[in-house]
Amino acid sequence: MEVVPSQCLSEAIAVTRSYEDGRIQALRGVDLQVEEGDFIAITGSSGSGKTTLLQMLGGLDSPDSGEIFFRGEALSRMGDLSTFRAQKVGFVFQSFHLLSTLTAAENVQVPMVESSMHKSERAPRAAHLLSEVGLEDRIHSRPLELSGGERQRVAIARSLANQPELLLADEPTGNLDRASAAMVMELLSRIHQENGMTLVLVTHDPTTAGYASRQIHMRDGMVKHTTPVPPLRR
Amino acid sequence: MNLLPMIIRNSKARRMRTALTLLGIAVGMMAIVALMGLARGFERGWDQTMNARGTDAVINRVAAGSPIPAPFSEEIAVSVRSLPGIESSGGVLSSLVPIGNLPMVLITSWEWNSYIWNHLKIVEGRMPQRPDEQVILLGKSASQALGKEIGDTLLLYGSEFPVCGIYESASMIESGAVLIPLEVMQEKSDNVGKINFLNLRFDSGIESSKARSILREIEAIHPGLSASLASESAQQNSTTKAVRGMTLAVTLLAMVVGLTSVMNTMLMSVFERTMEIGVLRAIGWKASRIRRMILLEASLLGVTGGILGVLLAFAARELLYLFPSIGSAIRIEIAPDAVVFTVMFATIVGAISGLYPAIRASRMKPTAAFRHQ
Repeated sequence: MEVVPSQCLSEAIAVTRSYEDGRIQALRGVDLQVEEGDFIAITGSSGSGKTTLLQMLGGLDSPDSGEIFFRGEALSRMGDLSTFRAQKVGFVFQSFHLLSTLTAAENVQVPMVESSMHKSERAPRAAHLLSEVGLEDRIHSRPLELSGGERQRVAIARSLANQPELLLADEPTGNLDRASAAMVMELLSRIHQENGMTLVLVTHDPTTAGYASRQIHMRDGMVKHTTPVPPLRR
Repeated sequence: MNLLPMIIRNSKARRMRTALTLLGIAVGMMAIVALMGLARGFERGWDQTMNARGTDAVINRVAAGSPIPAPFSEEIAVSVRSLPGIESSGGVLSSLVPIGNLPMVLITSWEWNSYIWNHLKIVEGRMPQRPDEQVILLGKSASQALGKEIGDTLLLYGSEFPVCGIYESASMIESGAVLIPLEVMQEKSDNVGKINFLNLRFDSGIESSKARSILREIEAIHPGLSASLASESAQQNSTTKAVRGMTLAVTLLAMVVGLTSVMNTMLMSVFERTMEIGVLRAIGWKASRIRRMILLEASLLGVTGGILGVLLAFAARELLYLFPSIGSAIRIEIAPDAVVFTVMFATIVGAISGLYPAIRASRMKPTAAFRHQ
């Protein structure tokens, strides 16, 4: 039966994914709709399939069955997904994954090489993004010279380099202390609110999940329930 | 952000491994440059010798792998001289022998009264006075390398020879040689009536095609002998051929060493940077850009190793020249084309070595890279 996508920004329809010859069922027929402007937190215990689902939405992995759509177009029909990832999606990882040999500004410029942006525009844009995340004075610092919170803010600036339509964050506060985690989440919230950025993050931390407008709880590779977060809590 | 600064910083971040890889390539490239320079130096020295003597053509036995060709009867000179177009000839008997600390000294002897003697310039002492006078002349470089002066003696072929003169020659080979009258050398080296080179002078103004036809005629009359124009004889010389053969062997060896060391370095680098490559893929870098990055890094190792190799070759040459025993015997001429060839060769070797690691890196899936963590 042909799957028909809705008009939402990103959508997973009946997605399954297994590893190790089917011994590990990471996703078992997951459906998810991400509307433009959404701020979704995918929660669940370790091994529940939340990171796998996030990777599917970002075109980092492909489903065994089912389909992922972005603006109604099936990812499986896009061919090389690197262009999709470069232009449509921004990624923030738990371990920051900055290139240690590059400065903060250079790290932010790394995704720009795959955009149509002229070389002369890259450095000013990187500086602007770093200033947006409050790191205008750390432009020339290398990752090892930055605190965990600062590194994650550089990673957030990097994720915004090519003006993506969808920001995906995998445990963005997982390696941070409470104060840094709050700062990072305030920053992501601000990006969501001020720019209308669609944001999907994976977390097992209820405080972090509390910043989202919708929480999707996963267990054993399936979506168990969806919880709209009351406005007061946000 | 460009690829090149990223690559340079990556290499700098792994200093020791990069340095060792560069050293491996550089040593191989140094050997190639040095051997090419040695072959060229020998050819140049040979040309100088022929020019200094005013020799137009050389006859010797067909090369059989020895630096000095096997002797042949000097009677051949008589029949060659009678050919039309030949103005004069001069028999030469040469040998390479170890003397004192010097592993290889050219001992040469020239036919008495032949035109070959005319270019010698005695700077000290005198010329031999008879064809059978048991004396030797030393080239200026040989005199310095052997530490011998007029009145000293030199043990050769079991006999003590007094040094009767020191000469200067425009030829570096002759300047480093010991010169004996032909008759004396023939007797002492058990080569009575033998020579191993016959130098020829053509009639003045002879056309090149005519000269070549005379040489073909000589080869036809005397099978087993090779006759070549002086300007081409260096390339026919077995020493040149031997050095060229060694150059080829070393080039192949350097290629294998370069290929394996760069490939090993790049594979290690790709392995260590699995996460980094995964992140680059995740944030949208195309597989082709990853391939380019690894290939560029491998090529950069190659080109840097090549340049270092050339610099090492220059340094090694100057170091070798500090030893009179070597400086007087060999000349290493590092020509611009050898430098260009070596650097290009190293770059290509680097790029080829990077192919497999580059393909491996570009096929890496981001999720697999994250799991690697």
